Amino acid sequence: MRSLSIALFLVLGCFAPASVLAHGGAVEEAAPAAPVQLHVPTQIGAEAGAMTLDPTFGLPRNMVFSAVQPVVKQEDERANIRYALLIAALGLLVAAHLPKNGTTEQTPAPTAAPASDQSNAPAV
Amino acid sequence: MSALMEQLFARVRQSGVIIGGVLLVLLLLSFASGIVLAFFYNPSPAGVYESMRTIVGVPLLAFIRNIHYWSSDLLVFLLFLHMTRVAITKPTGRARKYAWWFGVAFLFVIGIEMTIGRFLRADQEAFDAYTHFFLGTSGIVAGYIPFAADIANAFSGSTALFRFFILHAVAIPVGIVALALVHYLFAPTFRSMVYPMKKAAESSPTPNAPSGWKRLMAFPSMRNLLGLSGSAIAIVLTLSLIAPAPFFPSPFAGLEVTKPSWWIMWIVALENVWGLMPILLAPPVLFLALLAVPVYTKDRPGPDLGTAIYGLSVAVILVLGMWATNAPQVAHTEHFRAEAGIDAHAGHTGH
Repeated sequence: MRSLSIALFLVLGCFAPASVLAHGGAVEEAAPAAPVQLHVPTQIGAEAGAMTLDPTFGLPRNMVFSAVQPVVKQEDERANIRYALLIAALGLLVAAHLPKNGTTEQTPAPTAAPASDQSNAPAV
Repeated sequence: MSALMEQLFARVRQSGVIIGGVLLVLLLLSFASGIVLAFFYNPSPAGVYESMRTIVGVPLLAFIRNIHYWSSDLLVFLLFLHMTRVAITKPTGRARKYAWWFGVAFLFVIGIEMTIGRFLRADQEAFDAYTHFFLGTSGIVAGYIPFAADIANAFSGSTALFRFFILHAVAIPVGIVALALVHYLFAPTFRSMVYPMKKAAESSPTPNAPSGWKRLMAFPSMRNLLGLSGSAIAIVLTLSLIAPAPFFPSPFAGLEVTKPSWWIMWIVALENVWGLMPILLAPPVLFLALLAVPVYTKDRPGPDLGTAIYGLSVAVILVLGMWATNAPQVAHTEHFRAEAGIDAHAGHTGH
């Protein structure tokens, strides 16, 4: 059971970096092909206009997309690393709590005090 | 090999019980860095992006912003591990059940806090996130709950950023601290972690007795907590030096060209299929599932319905998140507005 769970998490953990290699972290545009100029009626600070105003206003969508793509790609790669690490850590945690007979092992409370200090250990 | 594995697993089990304490350290780190950033942040529409550029442009401020970003990011990462450890060691008994429920509330408030933090970045991603909030609230929720439109209006216009700032910097942190305190009061492992501190404080030192610090460090749990907290801080500082927090160009109105943070990406996967509606339905479903975990957890060894609900929830978050991360970017808000036939220039001023 423990070996099975470790193997499962290893496979899942390899998925994220493998998918980065497969896609190269690339982000492709699947949005409407025609330039879109839709606006949220009441935006963050729309009245003052400063936050929403941008010198590039009116440019085609793909130009704005190109401007942000490097950061989006970087964030996708970082997200994949996080997923891989999280899956590995979760796998280790689950495996550590799975005794060989397949049941969940209860974790002792961290009251492992020195022998001289154990007389008043709280009941937890 | 087997003995080494057993040692490793024992170490992991010991570390697992004190992750809650590490979360507290990361929370304090994000609070401290946030206070410094607040001195340089300008929550007015006219000056917000410029103030963010100043923060990102000054090396020391950029480093503090990176600490703010990575400490909150690691906090969410460790929250997954903490909840998993509690789920597999069974949140049964009155105290652990209440600790779990307050912990879920804590997770919910942390999620809101980090979402509002994204609005405050004032870059393209901030605008995309805010557009999701605004359209979701005013375009979907308001159709079912009348006062939702009033909430959307209260958080729009020239005062929106300031109100979000007050929520992010004052109101929600107070709620986080309150929830954390109640959670820690119920959590048995926290009470037992406090025990060594009480013992060290209560002992009356004699001339030959070790100092309070040494008596505290005589407890393995305290040494473990100190080591893990130190490691967490070292990871945050290292990442802050080598991996700057993302900052996009100034926002371009009406376009959705970015993706949100990794921990919320699972909702994006649902949006890719069903449009904006899942952002309003998926989080409540997840939190209801998490709240139900202790109800269906049995006080006996081995898996049960409670652990299955938890495991399935985490699996859904991870699989959908990875899928959306590697899927092509989809402009949900643009599609929503186009399908709803909302006038492109309605209410838009300044052009």
